[in-house]
Amino acid sequence: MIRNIYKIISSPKIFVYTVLWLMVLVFFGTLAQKDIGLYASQMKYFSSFYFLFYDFIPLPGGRLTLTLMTINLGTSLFKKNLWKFKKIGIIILHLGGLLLLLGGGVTASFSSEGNMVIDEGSTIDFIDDYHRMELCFVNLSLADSLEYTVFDEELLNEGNNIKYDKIGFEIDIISRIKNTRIQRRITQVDSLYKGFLKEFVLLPKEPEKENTQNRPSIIFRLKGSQNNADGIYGLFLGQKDLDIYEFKNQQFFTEFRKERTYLPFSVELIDFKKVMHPGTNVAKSFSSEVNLIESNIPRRVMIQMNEPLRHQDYTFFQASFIEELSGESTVLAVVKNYGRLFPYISSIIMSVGLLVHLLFNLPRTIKKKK
Amino acid sequence: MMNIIIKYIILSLLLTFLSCVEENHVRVYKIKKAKSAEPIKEINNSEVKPSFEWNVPKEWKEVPGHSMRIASFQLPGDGDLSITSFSGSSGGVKANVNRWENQIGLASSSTEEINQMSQNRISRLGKYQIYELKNEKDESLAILAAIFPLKDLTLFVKLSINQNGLDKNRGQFVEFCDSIRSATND
Repeated sequence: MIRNIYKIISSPKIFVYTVLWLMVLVFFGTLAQKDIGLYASQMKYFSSFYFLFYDFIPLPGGRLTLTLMTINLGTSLFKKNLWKFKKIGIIILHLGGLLLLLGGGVTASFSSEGNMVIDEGSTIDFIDDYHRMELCFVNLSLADSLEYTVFDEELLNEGNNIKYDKIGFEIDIISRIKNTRIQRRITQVDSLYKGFLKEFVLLPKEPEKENTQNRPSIIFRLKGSQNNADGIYGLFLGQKDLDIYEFKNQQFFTEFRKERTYLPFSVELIDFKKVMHPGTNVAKSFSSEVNLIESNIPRRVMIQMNEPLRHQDYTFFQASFIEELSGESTVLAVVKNYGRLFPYISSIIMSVGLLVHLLFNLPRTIKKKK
Repeated sequence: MMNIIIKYIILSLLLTFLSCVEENHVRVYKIKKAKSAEPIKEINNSEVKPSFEWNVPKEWKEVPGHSMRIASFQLPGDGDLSITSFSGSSGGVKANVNRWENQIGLASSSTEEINQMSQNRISRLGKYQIYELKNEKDESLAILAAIFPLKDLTLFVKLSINQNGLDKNRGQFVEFCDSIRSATND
């Protein structure tokens, strides 16, 4: 029985079919970007275990296909007839392929990406995620520091109830809006609505294709303050005037923001430069002169297009810039990828495997020709 | 042999999936308050005063203020004028105007109402806004304030006075605000 299962899962046919299916996924996933945007397409076709074709036929997604491929390649290595000296090239090739797939798994599971927006002259030590949000309660009452209590995206689904005994919070997530329209209230509202929601209402509007162009918001009910801070609050991404309220004799404000990852070092933007194509408004090149500050020691680095800064496990790419009357800001795309070296190493291994296989088979091929 | 290999693969996959499950989705951390906010209490007049200059109307009398103030003036009609500065936006315009409204017993205005009541002017420091707040029920309570949003700080000029005094001093207050400049400019 087990032998039969092994025969099936290690069959080269599975590898061929999964490769073909990946080609189909890449084709349709690329086309879908036009209609649903890059992120949604990536999530639907490549980062999922399955997706629904026409909303009712389940088909394997990229993650399931690659998992099958990895198992298939992994188990095929245990075939007895493979482990012969003359097949050393094939074994190396298989190991290289397996390493490439495992590297993909490492990247998919553990890598993170986001961006850093730095104004000229200012220093930043965190990355904002592109898509994931967080709800953040900030205690202002401590003498020398601000205490952040941060609830991750996973807890912020509609209808969720969060109890946090350390402060005595109870939060009911009433609503999550993907793209928000802010409208002024016409009538007076119940005292249950607090802060910003007393005067404005948050309404959903048609989400943009590109997720980063949406303005997400959250409406939640706060309980447990033992004073009039209990009530319904609304927050949206990029909100400037945040409501300060008292909760059990301590002052708090709440922020709904992109998930923030703090870095073990900070980056100061010294100067941002851009060169335009003559006579146009099209940027030819742009670069950021930054100070990479680690343990209070600054190191001057230039980040420009195609010349990213690599430090620890992070890579900083020059992605964009913001120009305002108050000054210029640089936008750096930051990627943390533990699997960064896997493709390079596995490509070398596979090349060596092919070369060895070719060399081993060369005398036989020459003989045959003769 | 094959049996062991299959079991090993299944166990490895199971462990891989389990290791991906994060149970704790709440993070707590502390960040030191910005340095610029800490030394405010230590700032004294002599240290900060040279940063700005202004033309003082003859009727105004400079009086010693407390350490948070850059300067204080006594105005005819028992008016108290203070000049303060704080790093960043100092809570934003709305928070500050709402605070002043509360000080004279008014309900907090919305952002839109605040924008409507603001009077935009240009001084030698750049654009600034003037806000006039009066409690119609109590003539002794009125505030005339100016907010200067500068690059790294916000400068506040606030006159607490009765409504009659506010009307009399309005012109000089505006002239005073227009004259405020950086001490290093000239």
